Amino acid sequence: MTSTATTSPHNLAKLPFGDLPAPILTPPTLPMFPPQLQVGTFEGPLDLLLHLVRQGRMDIFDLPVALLCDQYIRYLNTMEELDLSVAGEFIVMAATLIEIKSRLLLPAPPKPDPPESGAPSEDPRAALVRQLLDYSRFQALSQTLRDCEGETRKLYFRNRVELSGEYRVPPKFGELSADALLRTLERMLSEVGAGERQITSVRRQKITLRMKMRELLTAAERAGADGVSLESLLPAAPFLLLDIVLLFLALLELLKGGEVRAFQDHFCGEIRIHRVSVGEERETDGDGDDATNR
Amino acid sequence: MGMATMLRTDETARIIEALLFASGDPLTVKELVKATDTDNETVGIALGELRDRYDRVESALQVVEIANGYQMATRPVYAPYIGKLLAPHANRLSKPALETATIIAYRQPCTQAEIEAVRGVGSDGVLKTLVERELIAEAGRKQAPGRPLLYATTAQFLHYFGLSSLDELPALEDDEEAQSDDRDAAETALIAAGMGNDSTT
Repeated sequence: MTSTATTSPHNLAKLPFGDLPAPILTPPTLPMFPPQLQVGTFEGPLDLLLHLVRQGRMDIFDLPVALLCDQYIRYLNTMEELDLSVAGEFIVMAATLIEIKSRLLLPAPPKPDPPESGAPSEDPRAALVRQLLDYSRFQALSQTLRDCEGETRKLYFRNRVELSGEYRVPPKFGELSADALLRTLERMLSEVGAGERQITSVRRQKITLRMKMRELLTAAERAGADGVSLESLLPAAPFLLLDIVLLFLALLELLKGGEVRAFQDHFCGEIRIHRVSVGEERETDGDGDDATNR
Repeated sequence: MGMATMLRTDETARIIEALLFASGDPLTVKELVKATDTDNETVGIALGELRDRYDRVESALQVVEIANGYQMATRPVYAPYIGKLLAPHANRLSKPALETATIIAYRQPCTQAEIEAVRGVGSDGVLKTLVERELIAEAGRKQAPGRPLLYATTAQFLHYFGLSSLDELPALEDDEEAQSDDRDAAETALIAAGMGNDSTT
């Protein structure tokens, strides 16, 4: 329906069609034109030939090759006039048709003596007829499968339980199969980069030491007597070196200013940060001053 | 004795129901026999019972025989509702793809050249599509010059078309007999016409 865009409707009248239905789509301007043949909808030369045979109610066992050949070539010409590229297969078929036609025109070779073992000289059309019959049979069958397809599309099946492949009884030591190794490798590879977001825009983050100090201080203040754990202040993975450095700098700065105190219960234990109350602040003030003086 | 058998098929039916629910993929009778620890006959009766039960209670689900096995599926009448909620199925096969799949189904295993001989057009892209959709697969090579690849249909093919096995395909009006009949008829007709073919040309 859309391929008519390139053609002017005047072409339609000029085409010499005889009894062949016009192989043109109906443009909206010509609603009376029966769209019996559509350009470019044939799967191949056989499809087109079958169409012509059926359309012309030709006897497939006694193919009027001359007529068929004419119509076929006329059709190809139309396709060319419509600026549609004609696939090579179509042209090969045209050549075949012409060859058959010319062989039919030649007088049959003199018959050898009847007892000759060779088969009676085959009609030049036989191979083509066989091919057409074969093709038409598969066309009909594929229509049956099309119906099957439609029916099955109305059914919805449960999908396999996802992950079921991942829960397997662990093999005994030394029993790991190559298959299991491969699966593990595949799983690990599939997890690489999981959770990473695609970077669409990169903005420069502006974090100053002052901001970090304020953040730390409010966190410690909010935590009250328990204090806040240093780890909870670390940004979530993936870590940025800058974030970590800034956090420690801020902590050191606040410790120096005597605004917070850091405690650790045991070696390598959790570090908790407490806000120094106003009363305490004075005595630590001195320490801080000492530190700066040094 | 009869009572015991009844109980057994009853329970087997329930086990099969659980298996079909959990599996998702079609399960063969052989697999069901192995999992239920029974025999072909029991599984057969139990399957029948299960299917009857789904019919009797007018369930939206059914047990279908598909791709050499059994699988649970929704009933076709509910397809429009499911289509509204879930992403629709993959695209239907194009006409050339369907045609090619049909030829392979009946002529398998067959080569690309054999397929193209029937269709009269190149079938490179179509074959690739069918392999990608897992409807056909390579099935070795033909012992012929060039050792061309052979193609055959897969279990996915059966599943896609809702067939339980290839036997369910409509008969190819007997490739050999009918065709040679056709051909005989065609040839006699052709030979008869051959004498006076000037009239047709």
